[in-house]
Amino acid sequence: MHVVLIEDDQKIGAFVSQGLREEGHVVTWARNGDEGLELAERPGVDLAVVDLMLPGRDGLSVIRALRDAKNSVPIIVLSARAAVDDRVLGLEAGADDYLTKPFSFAELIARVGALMRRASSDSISALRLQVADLTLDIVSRRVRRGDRDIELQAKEFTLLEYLMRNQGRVLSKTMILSHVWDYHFDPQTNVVDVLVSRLRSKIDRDFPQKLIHTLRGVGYVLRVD
Amino acid sequence: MGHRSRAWRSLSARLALWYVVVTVVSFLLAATVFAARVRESLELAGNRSASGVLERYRQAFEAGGTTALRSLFDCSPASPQRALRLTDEKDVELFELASDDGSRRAAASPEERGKPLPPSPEWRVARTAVSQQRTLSIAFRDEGSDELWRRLRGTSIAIFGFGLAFAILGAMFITRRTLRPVTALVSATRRVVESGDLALRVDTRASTDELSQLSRLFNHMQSKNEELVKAMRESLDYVAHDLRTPLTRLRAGAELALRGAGSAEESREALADIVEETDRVLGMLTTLTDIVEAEAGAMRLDRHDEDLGQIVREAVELYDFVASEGGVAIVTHIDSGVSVHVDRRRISQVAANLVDNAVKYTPTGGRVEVSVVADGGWGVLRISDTGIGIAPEDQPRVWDRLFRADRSRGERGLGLGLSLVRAVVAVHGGLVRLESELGSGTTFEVHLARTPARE
Repeated sequence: MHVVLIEDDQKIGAFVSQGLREEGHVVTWARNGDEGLELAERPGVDLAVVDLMLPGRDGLSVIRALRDAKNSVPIIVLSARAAVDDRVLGLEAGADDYLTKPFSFAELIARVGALMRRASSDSISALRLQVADLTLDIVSRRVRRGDRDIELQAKEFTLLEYLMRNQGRVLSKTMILSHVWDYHFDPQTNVVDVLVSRLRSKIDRDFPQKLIHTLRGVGYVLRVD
Repeated sequence: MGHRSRAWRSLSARLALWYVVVTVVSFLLAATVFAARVRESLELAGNRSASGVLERYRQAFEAGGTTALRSLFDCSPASPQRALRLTDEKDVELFELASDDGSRRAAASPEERGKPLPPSPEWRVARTAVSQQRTLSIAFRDEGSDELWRRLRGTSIAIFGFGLAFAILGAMFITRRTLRPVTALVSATRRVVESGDLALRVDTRASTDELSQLSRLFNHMQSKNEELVKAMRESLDYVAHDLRTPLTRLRAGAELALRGAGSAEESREALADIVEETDRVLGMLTTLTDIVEAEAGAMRLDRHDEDLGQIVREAVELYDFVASEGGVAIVTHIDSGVSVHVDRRRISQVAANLVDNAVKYTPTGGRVEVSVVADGGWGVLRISDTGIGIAPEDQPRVWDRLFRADRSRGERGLGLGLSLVRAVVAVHGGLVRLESELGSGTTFEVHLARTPARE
């Protein structure tokens, strides 16, 4: 996948492009808005990551220029300010997603992944999910590990489904909060840790192969090690 | 700053000048109208007396001819200056008696006279037809009205002089008095600009006129600025002092990992610590920014009519299993249809903070009661816990930034939550309340104005 990164800060730019390359993406990095717009307009670009504060042409103007030209490349906005106004402006200008600096890299990767999937309309509507010997049936809401049925409460079920659909991908606390509770801000609580540890006690405790892993300070991931 | 005081002086001088000009013009206008009316009355009276005199001459003439006229003219001095004239139908003079030239001209017919009489009210002229188609004219100077006229003029000039002096003094007095609040404001503003003294206030009068309002508004603005600056200074102090601790931990962790003494596993642990610590600092900064914005009234709200019960239910749901994990029961009594006009995200934050707080400070086996009811014009959210309670002396301070009673210092949290609650509720025009007894629990109340129920 070809990602155009428009970011003027040397360190952040280097870090994001390295991270995205490690994820298997091809990254073209533009240091200012004009160059970025030119790169993003080229054919074959799958995603643009745009910082709002740029020298010369600013990020909002880049997004507007792309959308005015009927270019529908998915765009993720990066901004130093958490102000609602910025977020709204960015999304109104035609961005698809928004991250506030400083952001968790896991979150950026996850959002890039989500947008790419959306773009390639590879819908994730499987009704039966399986990871190792763990299966989850969306319709009957049954969860089995090995030959054992596991009773889950509603929130635990939602979280497990979310983890399984994103198998191998790290999910941050913020992402879990907004997915499971529809809370789009961090209420500064440990509810996510509590929910994950409860889920883990039901899924992993009695099995030698652990599936739910904690990446301290980053998030949670369900994967087969 | 001299030009400012000159500018004020010129304003004051301009006002005074205008005042004087207006006074003088009105006086002159009044005097002119008055003089015209007086002249009119005098003329009327004078002409009437002239007709009387002329009638006597006519009778004398009809009885005794010009001889009788002459004797009457000589013996009845209606005025020292007088003239008598007899003319035929072609306006040819037949007979004339005159004390002087002025009287003669006054008595002459307008055509003959050529130029008009000198503009004065004192000449009285009358004509009448007598026998043989002749015309008898008299003219005399009206001494009485002349005198009256002179006196009136003298008095008017005196009144005008006094009036002018009074107007100038009055103008100076009134402009000085009126502009006093303005001068006070000017000098106060100058001092604020020069010294940045936000404690400065100007004296205000009890009246409600515009200048008093301006003075009061100035004071209000000063108070508001003072509060803002104080809040900002406190925030800055807070950031300076209290971010040092987490930053020190961050630094120490990173340094330890860099020294490379430990294993790779230990380095990873240190890095994870650093990320977590960074998130904490970040959370603290976000909350602090929110509080400062809300307290400064700069928080932008995206307000809609919302069901308060629904917002609270979601917050309770968020904490429900955390509470059950900690052995705390959450009991709810939530009325539906309590509609409030709020920013959903912000009020969710308020509810979440209060529930979080209650669950956090309630020991195992305790319970948290959450209710939403309509109380008159208010939607009331009430959250009670059976926790450790707050000592009376600490109660007013729980809303302060970073305040945390010593008894709860061991608990997780940033001590900013309640400040945020109060600031956000205040920005919505609501109020917060607290009741607590040490050892038996605490009740927090949030009151938000209800929107009228829709049909």
